[in-house]
Amino acid sequence: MSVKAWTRRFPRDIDALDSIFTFVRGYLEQEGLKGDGAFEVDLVLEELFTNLVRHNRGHQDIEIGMSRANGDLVLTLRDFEVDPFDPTQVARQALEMQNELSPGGRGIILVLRMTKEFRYEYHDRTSTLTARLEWRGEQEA
Amino acid sequence: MFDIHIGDDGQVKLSGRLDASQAEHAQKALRDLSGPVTADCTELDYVSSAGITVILELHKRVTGSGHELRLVGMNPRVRTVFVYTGLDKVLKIV
Repeated sequence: MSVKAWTRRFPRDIDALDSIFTFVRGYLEQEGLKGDGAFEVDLVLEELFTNLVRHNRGHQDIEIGMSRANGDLVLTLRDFEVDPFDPTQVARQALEMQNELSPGGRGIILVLRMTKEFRYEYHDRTSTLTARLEWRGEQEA
Repeated sequence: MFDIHIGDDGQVKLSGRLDASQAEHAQKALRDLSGPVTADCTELDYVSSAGITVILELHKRVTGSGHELRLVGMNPRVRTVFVYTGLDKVLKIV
């Protein structure tokens, strides 16, 4: 199994999603990961990426990273030259106030449900989101 | 790739991946439906919160006019997204 992490920058545009999903497939293939687990990876990345595009007033491309840690998948999203905005706080509020018919926070609730860890850091005008997922698909020997 | 086919008598077939980049397309295609609707989700491979919002808007419009929206044939992964957001209690998923 490779331990090489992948990073790539994507335009802050919803239409970049197809490229992001292709990036995910490439990384999973390198790691010998197959099957249904890709669904959750795509979903967590889509929700976090679209959240940054819609709520952070940045102008630079968004960097996405994928790596492994003790069998888990670790996803990082870095948004440069932005003001602080902590989606983990939004997530906690959304869970407390969950109303099925309200669109607010639905994506971030999905992220919380599908991850083992969801973390926000802010340094030097850069927001970093880290999401850790258990791989639920198959793994080549 | 996402595709939507609207047939006679409120029959709708959703197929492919309903993500944020396809949500506007789906919203436009579904906006004129207001009677009873059955959405065949057998070939719907993926849905995100953006896709759920489109389906929920359709649900509100259909039920608001006194009819029912039924979602049929959903695969387990797609269904999980509705369960995690609590919408399996609101929508008629069969």
